[in-house]
Amino acid sequence: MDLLRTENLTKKFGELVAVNNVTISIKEKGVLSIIGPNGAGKTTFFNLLTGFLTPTEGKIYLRDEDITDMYPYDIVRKKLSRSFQIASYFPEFTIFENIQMGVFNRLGYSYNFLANSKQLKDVNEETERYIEMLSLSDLKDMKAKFLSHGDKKILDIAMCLTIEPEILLLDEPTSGVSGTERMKVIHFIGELAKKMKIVVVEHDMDIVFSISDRIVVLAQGSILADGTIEEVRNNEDVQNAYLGGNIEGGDEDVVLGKNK
Amino acid sequence: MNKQYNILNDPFLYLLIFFGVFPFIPLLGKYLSLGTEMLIWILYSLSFNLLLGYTGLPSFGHGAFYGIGSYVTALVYLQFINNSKNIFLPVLAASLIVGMLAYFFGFIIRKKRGIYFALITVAFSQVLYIIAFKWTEVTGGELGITRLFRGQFLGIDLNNSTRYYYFVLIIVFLGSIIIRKITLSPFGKVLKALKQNETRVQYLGYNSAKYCCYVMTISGIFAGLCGGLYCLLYGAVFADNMHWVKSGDVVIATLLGGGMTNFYGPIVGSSIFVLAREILSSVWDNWMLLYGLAFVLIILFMPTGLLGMVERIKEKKHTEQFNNNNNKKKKDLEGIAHKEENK
Repeated sequence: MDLLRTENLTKKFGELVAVNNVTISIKEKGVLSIIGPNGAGKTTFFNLLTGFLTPTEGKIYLRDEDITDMYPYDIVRKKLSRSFQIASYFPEFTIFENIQMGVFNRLGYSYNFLANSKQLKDVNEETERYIEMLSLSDLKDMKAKFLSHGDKKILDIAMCLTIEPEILLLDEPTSGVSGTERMKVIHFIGELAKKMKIVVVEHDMDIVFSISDRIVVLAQGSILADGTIEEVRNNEDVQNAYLGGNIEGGDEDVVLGKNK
Repeated sequence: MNKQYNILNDPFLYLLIFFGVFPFIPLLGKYLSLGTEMLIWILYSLSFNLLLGYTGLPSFGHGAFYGIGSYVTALVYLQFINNSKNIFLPVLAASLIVGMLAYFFGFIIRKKRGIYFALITVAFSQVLYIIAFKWTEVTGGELGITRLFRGQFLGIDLNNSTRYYYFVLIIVFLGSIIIRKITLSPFGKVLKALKQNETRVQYLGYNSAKYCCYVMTISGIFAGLCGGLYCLLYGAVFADNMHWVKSGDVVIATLLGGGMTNFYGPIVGSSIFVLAREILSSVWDNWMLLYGLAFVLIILFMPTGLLGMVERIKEKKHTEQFNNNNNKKKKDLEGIAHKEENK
């Protein structure tokens, strides 16, 4: 049984086809990277998988269950979680409270009106466990808005983990993160991959090649290539379109679809 | 994190003491109806702040809930238990009926946010205002419903203003404690989170629309209760209370005190607001001019309100302390590295 499967997934915004007929199946464990130039439809693909957008056509199955028309919160309860390209967290909460928010739901306190949230022993223990795991103990009483960019990214991923996902989608986990912090994030992803399936959208090729088991290349909404690192690296189409092969004109950024 | 609860640190204790001795304060104590109105406004603005300050829903139609609470109290009183011995039933009925209405209304606009939410609430309150104003047979139209007597509660005659004052004090106090309890609960935390980042809330598995609907209901229940108490205070109810300008009053009171950042903000704000309104209107006929000016000044220079400033100072201290700790740690680490180098 596939963990996650899409069938002919298509999303159109008016005339623009952002995701075009994508059929893909994702197996348990390991890291799958999705790469492609800007505007290739990577984030839209994530948004479709997590219920943020509804597809124009096609189906999505999570463990053979149709989740195509489900809302994000229902999909999350089925153990699929995601992080965001721009770190998504609660700026006015401390780190402790940020993590606590995920734990409440998993331990069944979501509609509890009368318990004091600071005195729930099981929630506090669970939250501490995550904070230790992420080595954020020093910062736990700090408001999230004061964190460094890298720590915000880690906090975002940490909040995804609190629902104990079986599949985790990471949207550009290292974008805008500086050198040393970048290593921290990569190391962290490597650790996570031992426990769950990770699907990652990433621009940095060094990172992609160092963490992936399988790579899917998207271009203009369609799958250009799909395979192991070697297969993708040797694929001629990919070389031409993405990895800076010799193309007439030779301007990589034009090929990548970047607007200067 | 787990500080021991100390009743001496609880602002509610001091509020209770203040309003407990209010009738005995020289000058002020004579105006018991003013004191009662302040109390009602405290609960009213706290209930409103669940929407604005906690969930970030800018409701400009809260006056409708308050007004309907008044009407329901008056009508139930006249229809069913005129001259009865129990005044609690009409107030309870107001609370429940407004709660149901708020649930229904909340369900309709559960997915609307920001300016759309604000506009729909204004329209909603105006529609109800017009109905109350025009439906003369039921609501008395322009003349309203007057000449209501308070009757009794558990054998205590509440037509005496001091007794009614204490009756309201107890209800408001219990209501405020319940609202505070809700804000500290996991449910309250989700509301606060919703205000900051709704997408993230959804991706943690919470159905955000449901929370908006529930918080409207809770807020409506307390607003209806306040409307009922207000109706019995003056023994009358008029459509005026439902006008959208009146809904604006509670917004100003909440903002003035700093409800956006502090739970106790609305209490401070509404006390000042009711008091200032009373004093200004007795001094100068055109006091609305000052009122309008004050509103502009608050939004311009004090968007987080009075207690918001306190909160800002606290935050500054917090970051300073944190930075100091960090610097100290860095220095310690550097010191260790230095020593090892010397070895």
